[in-house]
Formats: sequence, C-alpha cells, structure tokens
Amino acid sequence: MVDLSDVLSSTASVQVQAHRDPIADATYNLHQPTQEKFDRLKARWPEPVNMELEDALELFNFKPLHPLKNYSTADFQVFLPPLPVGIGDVWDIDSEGILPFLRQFHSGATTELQYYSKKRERHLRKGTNGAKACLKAISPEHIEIAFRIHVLFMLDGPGAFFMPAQFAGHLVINRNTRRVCKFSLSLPSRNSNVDINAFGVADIVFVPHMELSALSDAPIHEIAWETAITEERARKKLATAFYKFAEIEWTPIEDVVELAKGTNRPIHALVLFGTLDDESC
Amino acid sequence: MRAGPLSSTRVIKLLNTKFVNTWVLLRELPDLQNGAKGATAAALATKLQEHFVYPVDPMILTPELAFIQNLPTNEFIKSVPIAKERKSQYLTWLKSSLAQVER
Repeated sequence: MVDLSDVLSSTASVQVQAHRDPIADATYNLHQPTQEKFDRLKARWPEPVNMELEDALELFNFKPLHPLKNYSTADFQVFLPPLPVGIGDVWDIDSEGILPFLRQFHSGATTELQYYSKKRERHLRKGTNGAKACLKAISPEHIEIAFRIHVLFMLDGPGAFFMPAQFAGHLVINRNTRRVCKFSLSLPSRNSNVDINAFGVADIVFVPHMELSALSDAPIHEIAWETAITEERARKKLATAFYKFAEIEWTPIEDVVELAKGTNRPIHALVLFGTLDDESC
Repeated sequence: MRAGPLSSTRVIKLLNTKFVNTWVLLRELPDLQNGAKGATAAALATKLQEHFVYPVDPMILTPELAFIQNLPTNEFIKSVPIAKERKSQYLTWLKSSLAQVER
C-alpha cells in the first residue's frame, strides 16, 4: 500500500489542450435535420421553441470552450486516492473536482447523468454516475493512474444533451519533482460513442476524436515501472466498478467460434443498437 | 438488460461457466460479414444478422453456429413486465438453451 496524498505539491502550471472532431456518423441524423424535420420536431415540443435551423445544426457540434487552458498542479489532486492504495485498487473521484476539466469542452458539463422517458420527463440515471480511478503502475520515480469519467453536457436547446460513452484517462506523476508529467482524457474512438438527445428524440453518433491532453507530456515508454497492471486489466477494473455485468467474461467476436469449439460451450451473443459497456447506449 | 438480467449474480455465474459470451453492435455486422475480423467472425455475424430482432437481441448458437434460440428484448420486457422477475426468466432461458444444445 502506498500513500499518494502528497505526491503533488509543485507550483508549476499545466497547459491542457482540448480537441473535438465534428460528428462523423449518426443513425438518424438528429444533429443535422432537414428544415422539414426540424419544423416537425419544434411543433411536437410542448413549449414554444426559440431556435432556428442554423442553431440546431451547430447544437451538437460545439467546439471546445477553451482550446487551451492552464491548470495548477493542485487541480490534479482530485484524481488522487484519499487513502493508501495498492496496484489495481479503485477509488471514487470527487465529481465536483473534475468539472473544471470537463468544462474546458463545454460549460454544460455535469456528472449527473440523465435520460428522458417516453413521456419526455427528465430522470437521473442511477448507479453509473461519476468518475473512478485505478492505480495502474508505480516505480520509485513515477506513478500512473488510469481513470474513467461518465459525463453529460447539457446543451442550449429543448431537452438537448450530449452524452459521451465515457472519457478514459491517464495521469502520470513524477514523484521526485511532484509534477504532472502526463495527463489525457479521451473519448474511445468507436462507432458509436455519443448519445445525443433533443426534442425528446435520441440518436447515437460517432465523434472520432474528443480529447484533453497536457502539452508537457513526457515520453511514457521510457519509464521502468516496478509494479504495474496492463491497460486492459485497469480498464476492466474500472468497468466492473461501474457495472456489475462487466463481471461477465466477454470474448472478442473474432475469437468466439474457436473458443466455443475448444471448450464445447454454446455461444451467448448479444446484438445491440447501442454499445453495451458505456453510457452512449 | 445490462442493469437487469445481465447484472444477476446467478446469470453471470452461469454465463461464465457454461457459455462463450460476446456482444456486437448492429452497425458492425455488415463489415464483419465482409470479413473485417476473419472468416469465423464473418460466419457468426451472418447467423446473427439472419435472426436479429431490433433493437437488442440475445441469441444462443452451438459452437458449429447452429441457431438455438433468441430472446428479443422488447418482447421479453413486454412479456415479463415486473423487472425483478426478468433475472430468473433469463436464467431459465439460458438453462433451456443448454438443454437444447445437449439434446
């Protein structure tokens, strides 16, 4: 067990760059409605809508609010565990503390996930809110933390929000200088990876690249870790901390038939409209 | 499904001991059928596409890809309106699949 509560104490600032691609694919094209479809959506909404088609076309393709932003080293304290931890341990990240990072993308960021019922009533999602971190690797000079954030961006439109599948992140800290030497959080680049909603209608879309990254990144491959778990193992631990069903041993589809024949077990396959193991569904 | 039957400890235990589990996006099936991840994944994707019922559909196949049965989710939810009962119903469905495979 290692106490990481005081590994960050530098006064150095960290410049973080935000990048976001436009939507590259969608199922129903809610993000780019025709005039006819837009008029129909407006007419169905129970309240008056002060929005033109041009606004609707930009609604979901918002650009980062701050393409570059400076953070203090102390801002990254939020990712550290409050108690001593061992390799592979998972802990909760304070939701309020990470909002300044997420609001670099958009001011409407919230970790209170929501959905709309068929009656267009807004509900909070239970159980999968927030953010969690895992101690992935440690050496005498460095520590690496993997983390996963579930967030929703409330947009300025009728019932409009943009909910990424998740943000998967890494933080590497130099224990000698007590500085951040690598930081990134990004949307996994899988089609589909964002749930969008407006006018009580939902769509699942693909944003190829959405990321925050520290500009001072050092080459991480040069670090000789003393103890570490794999990226896959860390991601599995984080997923299981959010979802009970992640305890199921899921096999990549390309390996299924061979494994089924080798073990003489039947195949249990789920085909879905939206991704199973994140919040874009 | 994921917050219901697939989060049941008994269902998870049965799936991990008696089945090979996988999931795939509907939109990925055409590429898989075209061989994006190899011949066996293509054959499996073709079977899944053949029997799929929108929007979520669990299916059971033998290792030789003979289709056993499916459980289209919308119909399942309608036929088992009490959420708590869906876990045991899913378990029963999995067990009946095993019995059919062993026949």
